[in-house]
Amino acid sequence: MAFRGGYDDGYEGFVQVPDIVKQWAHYFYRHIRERNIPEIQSMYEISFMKLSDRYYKAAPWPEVQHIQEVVDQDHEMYFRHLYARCQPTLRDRCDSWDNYLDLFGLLLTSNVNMQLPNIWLWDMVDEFLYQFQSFCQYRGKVQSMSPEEIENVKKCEAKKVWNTVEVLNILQALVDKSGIVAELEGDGGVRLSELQGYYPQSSNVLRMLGYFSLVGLLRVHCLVGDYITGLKAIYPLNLHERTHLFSPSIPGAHITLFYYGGFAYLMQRRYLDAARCFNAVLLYIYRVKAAHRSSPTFEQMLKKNEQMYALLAICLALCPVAAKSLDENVLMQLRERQSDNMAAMSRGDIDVYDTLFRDACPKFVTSTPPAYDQATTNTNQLAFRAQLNSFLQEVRSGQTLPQLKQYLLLYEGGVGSIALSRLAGLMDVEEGALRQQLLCLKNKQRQLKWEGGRDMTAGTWTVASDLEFHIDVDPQTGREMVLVSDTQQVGEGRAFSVGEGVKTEGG
Amino acid sequence: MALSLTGADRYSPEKLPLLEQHVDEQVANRTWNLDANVALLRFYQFSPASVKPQLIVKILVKAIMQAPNPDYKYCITLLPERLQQVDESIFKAVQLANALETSRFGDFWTTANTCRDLLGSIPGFYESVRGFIAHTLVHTYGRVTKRTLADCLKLEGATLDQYLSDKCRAAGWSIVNTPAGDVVALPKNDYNQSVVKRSQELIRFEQVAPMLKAVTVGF
Repeated sequence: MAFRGGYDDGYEGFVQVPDIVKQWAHYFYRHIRERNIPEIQSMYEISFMKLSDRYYKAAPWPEVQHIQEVVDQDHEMYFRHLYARCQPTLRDRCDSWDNYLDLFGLLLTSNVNMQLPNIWLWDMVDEFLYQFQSFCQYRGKVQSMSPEEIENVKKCEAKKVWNTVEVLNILQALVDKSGIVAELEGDGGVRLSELQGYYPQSSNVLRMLGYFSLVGLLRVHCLVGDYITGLKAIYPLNLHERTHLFSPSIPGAHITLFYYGGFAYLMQRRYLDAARCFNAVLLYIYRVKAAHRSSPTFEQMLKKNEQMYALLAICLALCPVAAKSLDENVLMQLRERQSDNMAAMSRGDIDVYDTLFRDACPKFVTSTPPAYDQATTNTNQLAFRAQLNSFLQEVRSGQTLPQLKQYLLLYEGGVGSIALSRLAGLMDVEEGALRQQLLCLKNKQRQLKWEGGRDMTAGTWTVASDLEFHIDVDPQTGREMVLVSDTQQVGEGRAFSVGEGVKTEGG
Repeated sequence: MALSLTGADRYSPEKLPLLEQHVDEQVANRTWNLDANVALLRFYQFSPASVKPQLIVKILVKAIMQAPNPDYKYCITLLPERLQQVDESIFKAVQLANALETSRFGDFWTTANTCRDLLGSIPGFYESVRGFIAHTLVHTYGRVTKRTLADCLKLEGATLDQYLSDKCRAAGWSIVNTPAGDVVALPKNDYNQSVVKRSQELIRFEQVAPMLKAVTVGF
């Protein structure tokens, strides 16, 4: 506890807490005792922000011992405010970590009978993970730390402050203790969504913390590049079955769930599933946006909105038929924002993929601590670069395919066919290379797609393409022929010319 | 073995030896446990001091053998890039996977030839990857020349004939005499013959409607 308890001498004497703040704390505590959800929520969402703006715009709230009525949650809000408005010091970070340990420890071991606003419980989990990410970022900037600070950070590491495994353990403990998995498995979330999480005669606190921790687990696993575990961790939540999904009533939770869920699918090359997730949540944001104009999370909502349009553009560039599952409105919005980028990507422009990914990917955490003694560079970028490269590797591996598809499209209509050797000549590539590209295109056109069941990671292989072809050997000549089937052509631009002299051969 | 990956201690480092031992068991028994292997890679990421590159390689090679299932993809995003660069065997495994993924079978066999000891130590490796290559061919070709088969599968002469006769017996392949010589007819499926507008089955009208409208506006 090196950073805790040792508050600077003489500091306490100077703290002047305005009466109105004391009063606020008094009523806040009383409403919590009386389980007055609407009042707690209003004080939490509105008056706390107002007081913060008025008295603590660029300074932390008074530490809790300065406010007479001490409740544990005040700590949590104290640190949250501090992270939002001020630059936290290492001691702040450690104190906040200890505070979360105390708070979650208390909730996990005692018999909680409070009712708290769900939004507050979500914010708790959300802020916990934000601070985790923030610590990992801070830790990576070794070159800007003094030797003393490095020593202190090392001490924190030894105590597992903001350690990834510890964070996962806490979230998992909340999930397990809450019994949320069994409840959702039992009735598919019907009761939870009907009663909005507030059950008569029972506290909502653990149940909802468990629920939000499922979302938290998805997020942390994605942040370290473990996409399959992330999607498994939210079981039995399923982003494709939304009838009894509770999360839409907490926009932050809902958007987080779908952003990371869609992203996890995207990184697994499941573009159809990713597009469906993004479509659902973009439509949701479109509907609820206006009602949250004055919310403190409004900007964050708009930012995620833009990021997900960028990710959706990537999905469609890599898998044009995914457009078929999109809502008209989403498609329109997408076209307004991303049509140039999409055109560039469908031409195989890697730079555009790179830029969009950078702007729209999560803030990955390098969960490995930096080598403090020899670190000369910022290690924060390691995790990000690994994920970026993994994504670009996938894009590059299909870079020549759009051009190949354009050639094949020329032979579509009836059953068009062309000798493989002739196509190779037209494209100016070796026959072997063309054969490889055709096989590769076939492979890339197939992807797993969720088709039912609670497990989001399950799927059946589906052809996700607007172009169907196969290769056959002409028994008379022994020549390999590429045959293009006539399929319905939807959506993709076909304005592509290969010049004169290309004719459909045979039939 | 009692290897539980759920419960309160699922992220506990005490599981490390069990998970490591389990990798060798999977190699020996020709089994595959994705969750356990992902858990091990996760530990390694969090605790670089305990990394055992030789086990990571085994996991990656075993993951490649699961193709077309994307298990390799699940694993590789968990691996710090540095490991892919400094460890020769891991680097090789990544190359193998990338070649296979993009159907660069020639490159695949060239690389495989440079790490025969490693691949030979994983029972069933060649069988599995040939299975995947054949799977790719069956989804692309209605009929295929023996030459193409031989190149893709890296099989020649008697070995190739043996492979083909096994496939003819068990997988519906057949050898057809044509004026142009012997070709191999692969079993028909939805992907290697001309099909009529399957895309219609995949979508409902109300899903297409917005697209049709979009097309008329111009994308």
